[in-house]
Amino acid sequence: MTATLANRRDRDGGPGQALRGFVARNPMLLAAALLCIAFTLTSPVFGTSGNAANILRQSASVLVLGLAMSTVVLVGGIDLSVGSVVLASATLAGIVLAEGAHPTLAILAGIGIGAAVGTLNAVLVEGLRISPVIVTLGTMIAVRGFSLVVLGRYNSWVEIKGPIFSDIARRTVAGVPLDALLALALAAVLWFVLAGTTLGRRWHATGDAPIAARLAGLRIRWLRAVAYIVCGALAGAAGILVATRTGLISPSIGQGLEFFAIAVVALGAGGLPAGRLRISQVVVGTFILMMIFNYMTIRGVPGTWQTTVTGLLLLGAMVAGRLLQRDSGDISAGEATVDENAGLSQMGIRLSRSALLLATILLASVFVFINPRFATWPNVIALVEQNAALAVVAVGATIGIISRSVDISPGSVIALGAVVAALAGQAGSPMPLSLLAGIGTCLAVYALNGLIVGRLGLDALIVTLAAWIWARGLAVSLTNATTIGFDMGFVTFMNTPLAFGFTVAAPMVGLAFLAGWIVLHRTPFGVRVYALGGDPRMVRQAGIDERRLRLMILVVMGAFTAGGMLLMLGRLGAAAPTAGFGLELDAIVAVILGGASFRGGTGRLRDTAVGVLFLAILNNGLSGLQMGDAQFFLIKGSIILAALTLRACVQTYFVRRGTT
Amino acid sequence: MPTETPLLEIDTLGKRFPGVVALDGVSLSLRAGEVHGLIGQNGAGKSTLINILSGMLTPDAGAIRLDGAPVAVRNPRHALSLGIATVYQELSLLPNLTVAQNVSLGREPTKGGLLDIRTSRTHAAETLARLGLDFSPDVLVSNLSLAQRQMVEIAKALASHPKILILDEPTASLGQRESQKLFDAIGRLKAEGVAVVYVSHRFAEVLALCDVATVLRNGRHVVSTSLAGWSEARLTDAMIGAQTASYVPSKRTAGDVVLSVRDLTYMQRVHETSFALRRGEILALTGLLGAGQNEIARILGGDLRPESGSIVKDGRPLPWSGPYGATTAGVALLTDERKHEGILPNLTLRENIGIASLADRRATAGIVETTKERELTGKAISDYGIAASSTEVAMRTLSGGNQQKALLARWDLADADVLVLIEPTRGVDVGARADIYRRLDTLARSGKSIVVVSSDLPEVLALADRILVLRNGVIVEETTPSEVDEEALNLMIQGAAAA
Repeated sequence: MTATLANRRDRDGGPGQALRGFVARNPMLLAAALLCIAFTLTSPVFGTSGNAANILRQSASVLVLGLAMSTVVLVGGIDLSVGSVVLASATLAGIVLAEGAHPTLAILAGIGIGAAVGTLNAVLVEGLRISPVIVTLGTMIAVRGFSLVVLGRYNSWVEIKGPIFSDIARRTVAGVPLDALLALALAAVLWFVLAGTTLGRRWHATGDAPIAARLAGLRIRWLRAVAYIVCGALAGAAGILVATRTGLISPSIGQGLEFFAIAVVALGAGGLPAGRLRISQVVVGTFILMMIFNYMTIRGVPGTWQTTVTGLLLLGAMVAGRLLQRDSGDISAGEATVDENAGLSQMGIRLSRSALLLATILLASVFVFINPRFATWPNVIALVEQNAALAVVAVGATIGIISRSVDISPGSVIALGAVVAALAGQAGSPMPLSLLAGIGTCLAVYALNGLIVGRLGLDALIVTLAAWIWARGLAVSLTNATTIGFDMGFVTFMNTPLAFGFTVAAPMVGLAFLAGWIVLHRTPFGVRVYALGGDPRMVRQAGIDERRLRLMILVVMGAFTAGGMLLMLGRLGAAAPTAGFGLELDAIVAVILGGASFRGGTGRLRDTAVGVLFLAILNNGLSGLQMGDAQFFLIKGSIILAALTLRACVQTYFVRRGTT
Repeated sequence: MPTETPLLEIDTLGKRFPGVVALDGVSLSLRAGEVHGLIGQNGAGKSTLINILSGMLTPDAGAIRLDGAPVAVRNPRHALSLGIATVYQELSLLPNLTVAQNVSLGREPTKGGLLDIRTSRTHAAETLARLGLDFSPDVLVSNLSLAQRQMVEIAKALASHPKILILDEPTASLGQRESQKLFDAIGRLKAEGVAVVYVSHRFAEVLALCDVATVLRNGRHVVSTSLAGWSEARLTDAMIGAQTASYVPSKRTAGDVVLSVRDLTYMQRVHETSFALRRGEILALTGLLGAGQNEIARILGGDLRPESGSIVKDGRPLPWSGPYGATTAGVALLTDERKHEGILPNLTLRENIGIASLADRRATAGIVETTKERELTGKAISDYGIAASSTEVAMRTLSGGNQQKALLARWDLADADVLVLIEPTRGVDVGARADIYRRLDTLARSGKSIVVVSSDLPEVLALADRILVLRNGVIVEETTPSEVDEEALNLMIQGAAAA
């Protein structure tokens, strides 16, 4: 007896209404036009044809990246590795050119490496059913590491020289830059694929209603896999455009581009709507973002503010999109595995847990074997100190994953909190007040996220994704990308050994786990955290206020992030805007490796502790080998992906054996 | 024993959905310490009535009075605070929590802000004892059997000390022994003065357990009566009434065997079931809730993977490879969860109809031939009488009946020769219902084979050439509409000695 919510929107014809309908369907097009007019009126430079060409050129690679992202968003996924793919593609193309091969070959190499990374993502996400966020965060780090290692062999820079490449960078056709034309041509091709081919139709169906699409006979996992591969190839093409424009490949290329890719999609479409994305929206989103960047540059706003603005625009677009189309379906969170419901047998759970413990011991033994200094007491102390912030944040991440509120912002929020504390100190506020300002900042960001998640029903994952971008951007802009020192009294306190050489960090970790355990197992809140992750409907049926619960969950997680911020600030002795980079991945990986499910409802703190131990040993062991960032990223990313793969294999095996 | 003042009075309640009148002036009165049976076919309005009482729906007309005072049940939480607790058919327990945690969810006892685990445990243990259950409140729900979970569900409802307990088909997943336990528990509650609304299709239970019963038909109140002197046959009569057949099929002739199913087994739901489906035949599978008919349909459509058994299509074995494999072999599934498992809500009507047949006829080299597609879907829309302003409207804006017709058109265009439908007219208004029956008849006459899973007996009798009756995962009877009437079929389903 389902009440059909039919006939929601009945529209009548008529020219005036047709126009109104067009605007209502394309609000961002109107916004772009208004922005354009406003910018032209307020700046004499903005409206010139030279500046227009400039905007077009700057838009080219971002548009292609946005196209790449839209293929996976369309089928209900997400890909955070596109920025790293840009670096890999540009590097490889540059090297092929430097080795004297034909430019066409260089272009193919760039697109090929992109497709290869896309294939890897596809296998891990669709083949092994690991969450796309965590997989692509892993490939983001591993691919960046790989590219930097390769680039390192060429003294970290490669010059781009070649006939086709310089043509793309310099030629114009009827006043329009060639690279912008190429990007628009790719957009047209993708538009045709989506609108006119069976593949496009099936992608729409898969994103719109995966279960229905599956029963309609579509091979949805295969279709989504193809989307990841196409995404990778397009990101590779974007890498070629970046290479032509910069002319010089250096390690900073592609950094943060994944933010822009997500932002242009969300700006155009008002969120990340699986199954309902249009290419025209991505084009409009790209031009809005690039016009804003351009205007900022004209007005003399430092480039460091670009990321902040991107993140805030992303957040604004998603909130506005939600408010405007409240009644029309859900915005996808990129969870690609909802349709395959299979329980894991007890045996499988036990085995995957003991497998992690075994892997941890094995990893430690390897480091003991290759590095005599690994198993020394000072190193054990260092291991704890280095990873204390991770451990504390991982407690919060456990609560988040149990309640299905995955948070990818802790790294960025820690950086922002530390920066605020240091700036307050610099402005002359006393040390405790400065710390309070930092803690307050962390809690405020989480409370804001919690309000949005609770009130608007947006998925925590995409709300914290925005915070991941804007909080990091704000930390960079506030400090002008420099490190700011902090009160020596606090730093000394945090680094003074208390007993056995351990500083206050060790008891703080213990305290965090204890607090987490009490919260999860000794308060009504904890039971509800498990209940919410298990099945939100049950929570509503039991008469619990779901919005308040979601807000509470994020605030509690914010408290743990604040704890991590204090540890980070104390250990570094200063606020670096880059602090905590990759911490979110470590924290989520620790929880997932420990045995919690991304689907929520399960997870234990002691398993998280083992997961943290595994990563701590990995971090410490690798840094003890005195390698550069490049190797570190490559090896760490690969080991994390390998560990996740192993866990997923064990699970798949036991699901098959256990339930069918 | 029943007292004089009614605890709950429902006065000419009405509720309509787009295209459907779900409740039309239904009245009922419930006294403390009374077990009140609620009987009616699918679509009679039972679920709507329950949902109104438990605060999930608000009525359009009529009044509810508790202890003589009019109330409006605002939401599930409000219903609980008014003393109305409901146990639904589908389980609502969290498997990763303990029994005690499930029972006290949302009302956890605390001491100084922390959980008072001892109190919640003793409280849960008391509630379990009240139901005559002997397992520990600390056990995880995932370690309990289905029947035990059903009892925990009732314990959860009792934990709020309701004055009125609504049980919706509580014995659907229970065996004989567990059912008896439940009846004992209901007896105890009755003695405590709790009023129980007991919804069930199992007339033997209703007759044994209930003091009074209310019968609904097509959203209308038929009778409220003391059950003294009533028989299963008389209840069946009241439930079915004298119906005017809106759709009368003429005879079809069945051809060769298209699909043969052998020894199908799935979990605890289907046991070594075998049957054959012939060309041009409509085969109905029916039974009580949970008898295994839904699982068989989902296995045929590739949605569920059987543990053992084989399916042979046109003489060739059909190895399981998901819905893709089934649809490629020409077997299509339309489930009762049309909103989630059937339609593509934001795609257009044209895209929804065309999605299953993109590759074979309207695309060359992966490019959709739009004009041809428009032509074909346009024809299907007029053939199937789908009411839509254009082919380009979003699927979600159509009514349930039109959505169902569009799904039939989808598989017609895809040339599926075996259609498997679960409750094909659930949520479909009366007018569209006859349309759908007529379409299914036409499809069968054109040589397609159709399996219909339905618990709607008039529907089964109107549509089917043959009827298979299932009980506890096994086919227990095979019959045809010419051999049985509704009463006899109902008795077969109930498992009574007659027929």
